[in-house]
Amino acid sequence: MKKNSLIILLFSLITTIAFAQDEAAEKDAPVYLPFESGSLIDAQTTEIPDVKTLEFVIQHKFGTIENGISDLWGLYSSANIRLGINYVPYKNIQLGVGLNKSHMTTDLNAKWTILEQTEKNTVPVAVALYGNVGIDGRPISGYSNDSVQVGYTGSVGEIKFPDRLSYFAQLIVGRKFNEHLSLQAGVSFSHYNIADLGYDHDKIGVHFNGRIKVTTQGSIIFNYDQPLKIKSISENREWTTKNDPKPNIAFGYEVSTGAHAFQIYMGTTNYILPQETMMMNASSFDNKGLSFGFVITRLWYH
Amino acid sequence: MKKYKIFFLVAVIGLLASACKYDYIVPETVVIPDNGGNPISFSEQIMPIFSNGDQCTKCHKQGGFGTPDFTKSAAVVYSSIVPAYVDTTNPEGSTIYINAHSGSHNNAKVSGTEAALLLQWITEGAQNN
Repeated sequence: MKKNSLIILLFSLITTIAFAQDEAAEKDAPVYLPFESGSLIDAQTTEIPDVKTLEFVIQHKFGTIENGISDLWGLYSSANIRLGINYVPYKNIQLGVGLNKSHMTTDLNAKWTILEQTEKNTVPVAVALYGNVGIDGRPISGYSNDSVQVGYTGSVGEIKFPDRLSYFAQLIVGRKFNEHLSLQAGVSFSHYNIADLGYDHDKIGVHFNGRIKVTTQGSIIFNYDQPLKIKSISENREWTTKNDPKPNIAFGYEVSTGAHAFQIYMGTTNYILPQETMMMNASSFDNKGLSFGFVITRLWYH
Repeated sequence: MKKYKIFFLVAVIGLLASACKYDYIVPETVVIPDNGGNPISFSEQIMPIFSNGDQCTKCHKQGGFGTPDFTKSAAVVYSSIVPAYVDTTNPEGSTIYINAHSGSHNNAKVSGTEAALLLQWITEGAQNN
């Protein structure tokens, strides 16, 4: 009986909130473009274009600046590249696919903006969920060994398709404070089905990024991703700091028009896919791990 | 349209069902180099590592994106990497050792045995022999 009352109470609460939002939506409209694009350096924003919009994303990261002028601060060094296509089939739901040079990974991704911030602050923040699945496409010879063992001491077998999969899930909360300042914070969970001994399969991370609009089309942008060291979910038996992933700190400048965004930046990761950065980033300011990169997005409206 | 939705749903469930595996790559058996008391030879033991499997020479070649060029003669390669990429006071901190075995340098990763050989050569003073 107690259970039934609880269900009725919950149901009535949900319907009340839903109706309240419907009424509010009539009077209050979502804020205009909290971010210029769905991508912000390597991160995602709560922004999703209109329904039936196709987006092409080019992400390019040069090598690190560690060698100085000998390879023109990484411009002549090997680069990491991602080509992605996103489509918006329903309002505030975006599906995408991308090809990454790093580990020859194909990623399938989805983003859902659950709540949009409104002009009159009926909804003070935007909330979005983002998730992807990465499929490592390297030949078996690309791995350090063609055998895997289940768990730390389990049976040994061959690398199979599920071993190639990695996952990233993120909750993003953002707010456009005024015409100049938009900020976002997020929490994420990354999982790899396969790892080298001494590395983790799971990682929780926190994220903080934003933009400061300085001209009509230009903004200063930044992104910070911090993988957390949590002993209870770590399998790093020796608990050393040797294999800990380093945070990604990036800052840059964005120029945007209605259908384009161009971002040029410097950041401390060589990876583009978020789960790779959260799990494996070895670059930092200490080892001159900064690299130049840019992002170009192009939208086609229906 | 309905067909696509079902296909999409099956694909999502399939990919999620494959999650939560906790497999490890079996570590390879590293053979610690035993040179019978002789120092590691740069020309005979270190040079072949750079071209093995095209791991380094894929980029580090004439006309390639990487510098230095590892396809040149042992004497030329030696002068281009020592001392620029080698730190005999801290062998494990040598750029050439880190880039060759950590996997953070453009996905290149030499085998554990090759990495041990490289480290021992640096520890022995990175001789041009």
